[in-house]
Amino acid sequence: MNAQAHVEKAARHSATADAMSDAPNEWEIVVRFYAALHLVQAYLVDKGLDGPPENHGQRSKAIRDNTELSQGRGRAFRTVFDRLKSVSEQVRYDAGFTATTADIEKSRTDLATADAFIRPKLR
Amino acid sequence: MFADAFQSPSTVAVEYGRPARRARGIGDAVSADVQTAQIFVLTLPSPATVADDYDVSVLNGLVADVFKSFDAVFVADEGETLHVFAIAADHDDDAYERMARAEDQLAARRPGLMFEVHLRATRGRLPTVVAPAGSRQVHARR
Repeated sequence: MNAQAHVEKAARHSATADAMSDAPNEWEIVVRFYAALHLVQAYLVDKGLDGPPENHGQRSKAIRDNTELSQGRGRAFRTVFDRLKSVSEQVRYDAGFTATTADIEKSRTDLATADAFIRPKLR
Repeated sequence: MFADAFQSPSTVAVEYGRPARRARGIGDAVSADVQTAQIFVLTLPSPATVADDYDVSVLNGLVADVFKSFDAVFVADEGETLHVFAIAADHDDDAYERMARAEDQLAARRPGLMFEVHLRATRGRLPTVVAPAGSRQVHARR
């Protein structure tokens, strides 16, 4: 899958999440995490990474090993990506966790931060 | 080894890494008095298992050390990936900054280790309630 396809997939996921907002739904966070995931894939494919990550562990390592994504201004990107991932996991797997409206709103701003950071870096 | 063990009722047979049930059935082929003898078979971990356990113990200690700023830390293995669950009060920026620093430290101190870090927010619950089933605790802040 090329970088543009990942960007388009991210946009579709983002639109899906926004469409769920009429009645706040914690699954918005999960959908936004997958939008962010496709932005990361787009970046890594665009930068010519040989064999983009195929699982979360490989993706975490790719982010960690990439200075632009993990240090300096990338640190804020890393924070929002990690938060989208971890909160979405608790939404899915932690039966005692219920996302608040603040969590849902945070997922919206976190994805916007990720999008604004990644897109200008794509060719 | 078992032939030697049957020479005396008081002999203790020792095998590395083999289950005691291996002794069953062997008695069928030996004399009646030996069959009535009490044979103790101790199963000890093989040297390889001891080395693995030591490595796991060292790794657990390392994870506990680099993630010590968290309320608690749990780990779980999945294939070749080590999952680290860092437990914090909530999903705030400070927790993620600490997580990134700890993650970088772990990567630097264990190059080649495939791992994935997850942050779990307690929001008033006990860390043990938030940790995934089957994970093992390696750190608890006093």
